[in-house]
Amino acid sequence: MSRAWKAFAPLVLAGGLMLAGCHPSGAEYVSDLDTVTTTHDTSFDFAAARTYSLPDRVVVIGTPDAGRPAPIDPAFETAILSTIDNEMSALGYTKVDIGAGPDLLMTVGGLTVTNVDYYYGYWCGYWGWYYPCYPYYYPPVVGVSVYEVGTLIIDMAKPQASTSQGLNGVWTAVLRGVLTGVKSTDQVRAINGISQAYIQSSYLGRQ
Amino acid sequence: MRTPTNVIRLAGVLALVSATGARAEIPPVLVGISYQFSIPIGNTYDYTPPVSWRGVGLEVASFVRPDLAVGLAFGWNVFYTNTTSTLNFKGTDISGNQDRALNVWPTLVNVRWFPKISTNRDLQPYLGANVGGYIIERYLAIGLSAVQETHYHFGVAPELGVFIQNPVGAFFLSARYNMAFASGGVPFQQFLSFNLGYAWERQHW
Repeated sequence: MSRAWKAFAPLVLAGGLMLAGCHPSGAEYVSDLDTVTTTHDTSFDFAAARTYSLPDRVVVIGTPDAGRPAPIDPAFETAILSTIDNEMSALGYTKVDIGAGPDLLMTVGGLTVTNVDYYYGYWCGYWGWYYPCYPYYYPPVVGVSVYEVGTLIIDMAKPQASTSQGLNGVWTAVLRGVLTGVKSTDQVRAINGISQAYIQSSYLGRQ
Repeated sequence: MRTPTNVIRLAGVLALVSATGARAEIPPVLVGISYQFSIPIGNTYDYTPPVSWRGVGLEVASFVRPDLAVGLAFGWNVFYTNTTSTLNFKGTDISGNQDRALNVWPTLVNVRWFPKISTNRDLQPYLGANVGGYIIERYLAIGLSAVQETHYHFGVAPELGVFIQNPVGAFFLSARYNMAFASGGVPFQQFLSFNLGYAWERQHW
């Protein structure tokens, strides 16, 4: 093998390995972490149902022993419920009062989890470029980051003859990452997520 | 020789860049490295539709007859996509921003036949058959969750290529249709890889 090719071959191999080994990944925005999950009872005939009921509140499910959870902002709550109504209406279902014996009982719940992360370190960010980090020279740094991850749960159930029989769920949508407490983005993400839940549930509807 | 295709014309230009007027015989043992790009097909396309521009290969071939070589082929091909399409997992539909990747490491043994098409072998086409295993690592990240699984798949790969020789080695171009059979719940995978490489003679091991 010539000298030129001896030099060329490792370069090609190294370049190829670098190309092969790296692929872009990871979320750029917090909304990239949102997911919409739906599941349904395959034996239930959604086309046979005509009416549904929907409460006028979104129930917030809190952490046990953490006291009563804060309610959802009323405007946000209205946006969630009206989006569900619009989607159900577009599918041909008629909203009725729960006392009128609906074919589908719907509930909406919110679950918010507050995550707290602690990190512990020493002052060596700047001087660490020049000298080793001396942890005993300076007081340590304790940092705290707090963030909320919220989930919206939409349930659809089939009424039973007796309340003692409970409810048979026939469709559930779980929207993760839409109740973070940031009003400006939560509402858009929730509305988009609800729409997506219906888009990916093509079996719903009167037709 | 028959009318060359555009690919062969391109290969000819590449050969002229480094070749001098001398002509070389195909050496008894060749070691080759290649850059590979791959077109996903079937289930591979369903999982990661874009063309993979990331791939590398290492080849070793030994001639058992002037027109027949046996060898080994190793590679690494990376398929990747970012999508928001909906997944179905055991009856549950999940949508969201997803990173999907397939890392494929072919480990193949092969036989190549070099039909004599002219008195000199400056431009030598070949037909090949590969058989062996494909180590396939499948990665999926959605939301805050990620799943990664790796399985060894039995596979075969017919191959068509050409060597363009110069005094110190040979450029080679080839197309290999990779077929890895289902394994560990991962379905049949297929992709067509195009390999652009350089091979040189290896006298001592």
